[in-house]
Amino acid sequence: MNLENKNFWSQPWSVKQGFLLAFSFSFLGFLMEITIKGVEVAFPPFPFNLIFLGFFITIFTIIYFVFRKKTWIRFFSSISAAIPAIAVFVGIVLIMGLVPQQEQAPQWIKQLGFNHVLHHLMFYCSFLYLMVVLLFTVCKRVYPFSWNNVSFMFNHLGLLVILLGGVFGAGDMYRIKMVCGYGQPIWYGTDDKGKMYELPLALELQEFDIEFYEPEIVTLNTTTGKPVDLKPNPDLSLSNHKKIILKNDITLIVDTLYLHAMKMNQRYYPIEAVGSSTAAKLKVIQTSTGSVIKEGWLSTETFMQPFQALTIDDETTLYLSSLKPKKYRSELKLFTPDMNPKSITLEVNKPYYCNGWKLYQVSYDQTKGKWSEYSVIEAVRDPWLPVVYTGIGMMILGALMMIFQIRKKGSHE
Amino acid sequence: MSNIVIFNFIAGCTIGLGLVAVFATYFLKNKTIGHLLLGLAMAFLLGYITFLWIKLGRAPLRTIGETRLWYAFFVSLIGFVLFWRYKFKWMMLFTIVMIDVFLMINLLHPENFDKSLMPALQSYWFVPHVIIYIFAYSILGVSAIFAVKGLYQYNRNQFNPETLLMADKLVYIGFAFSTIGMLFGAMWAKEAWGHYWSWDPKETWALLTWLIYMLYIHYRLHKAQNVKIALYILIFAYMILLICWFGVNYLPSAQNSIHVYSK
Repeated sequence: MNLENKNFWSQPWSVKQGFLLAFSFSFLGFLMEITIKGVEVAFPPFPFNLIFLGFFITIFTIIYFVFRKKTWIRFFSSISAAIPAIAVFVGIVLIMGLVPQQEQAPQWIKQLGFNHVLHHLMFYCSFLYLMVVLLFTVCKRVYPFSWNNVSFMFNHLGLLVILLGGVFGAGDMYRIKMVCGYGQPIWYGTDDKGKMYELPLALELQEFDIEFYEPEIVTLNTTTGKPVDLKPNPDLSLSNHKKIILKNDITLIVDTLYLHAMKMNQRYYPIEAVGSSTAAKLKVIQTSTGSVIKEGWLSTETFMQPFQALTIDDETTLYLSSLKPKKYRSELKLFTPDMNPKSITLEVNKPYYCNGWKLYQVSYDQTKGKWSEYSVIEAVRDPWLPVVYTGIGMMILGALMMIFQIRKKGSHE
Repeated sequence: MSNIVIFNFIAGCTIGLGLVAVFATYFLKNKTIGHLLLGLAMAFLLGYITFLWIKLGRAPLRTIGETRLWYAFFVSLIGFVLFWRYKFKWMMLFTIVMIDVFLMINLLHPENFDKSLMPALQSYWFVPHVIIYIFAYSILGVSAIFAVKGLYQYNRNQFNPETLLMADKLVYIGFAFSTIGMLFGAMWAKEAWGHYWSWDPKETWALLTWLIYMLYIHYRLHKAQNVKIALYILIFAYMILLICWFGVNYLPSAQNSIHVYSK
């Protein structure tokens, strides 16, 4: 060690040393990652996660209170350590924000592991460092306690609780997709890696119901297939007998609109059957003369019928947009070991809680749409959620106090 | 009359009123007229937002263009309050420039106001989550105006500490609101998608924005005298915020995002 280094590391440390520490720690993680490459760290389940968490909190709290008079521990609980810790973490999250997080990536990105930042040891190290600094900071303000620190505590302790609860709780979280069909109760499902799990409940689909938004006309260039830029933008939603001024000298009139139609002999009939499409008969009119240039059908594609387009001229061909779901829900029969079968309804944004599991409507057979023969339900178990929500509650209180204190400060000045 | 025609009219009136308000304040030196005109411009915007809400049958908060309308309204509201309470004449000028730019973007890129709202967005969380966020973005946008002003003063060796103190206050409020917006988003995500944090690109960028404003707050507490770095952090933070708001739609990392609204 030369003299210059000695001087650099002489106490008390400041932001400079903080940066070097935060950066080195993450860089160590980076080196480990590119050496052991591709090893995914699995989050431990109960009771190991609880033991680890207890260990983490106890050890670092003891370290803090034993050494709290030392200059170095004061540094780790200070803003000089917090700024570099946050800055380095920001840098790593920035990589995640810029590089697509997916399997397919250029070779050099794969080698650096930047396409899976969330499972990168550099990310873990930086996060761990941030957690230690945050824990020390919280310790510093807890004892000796002061009422002036309440908003500080809500913000910092709240964040610590959310992050620790989220990370250590990850090992106990299960997200299991169940494909529920008619006439057959299902009590098992698979997670995102395809691993099968049995659940303490069973579901049987009674009815699947879906509503769609009415389709709109889409205009594409006849030769290139690119969207036509219409000016001014006309309202292209469909309703019976509607008049649409499409572009210079071209007006469309919706002659007939069938929400459910089947094609027979070059035209559509209003029939609500499996695989029917939405169809509209349009008249294309030359606005200046009022004469009908063309007449024809437009229809959406289903698994039974191909779509129907209408070409107006070399520049414009009309299509119907695919149907966008407005609402879908499943009526299910729920079986559990401890009670009678029960009818429940699941809808997006309206989950149902049962025996520690929350059931979510997630999907259906999208190729069949309205005629889907199954509904995909996700069962989620997240026993650490109350911990995370406690942290969220604290942070919201902290944020409200922050706004309130600014106003108070403002009136003093 | 179509939404677009009405919008062109409203946006034109708002932009015009804003410019006349600036003229009245700066050249006629009449603040009352300035206040009145700016107030009228805000009333026009609010009226249009209400009209759109009723006509679409849902809160106009889904598309980027719609959020720009709210942004223009909140920024003008904040500018109005600062102008009225602290007598910042230049503040009114800058907020009007900012809202005029945002309205001009909407005028030059008219969008079809799509009525559809995908099932995941149909929730009581939708309105509070987005409005709180847009309000936070507006306040942080105004803080960026202070940062630009501070940098200008700094480069001419006329730095006034008050500029940065005002920016600090705004950052505290904006940061608090974006914290609430983010946490509301997390609770909504739990209801809609089964998990409170999915590392969706929009979430990643929202976290980044939040962390950088957090960094700014800590830096100010640490070294209040080093204003230059603080000013640069603040401007950088606003750039990240803009990427989070609009830029994410164009990033290669966000092609599968569940947050990408139609443009």
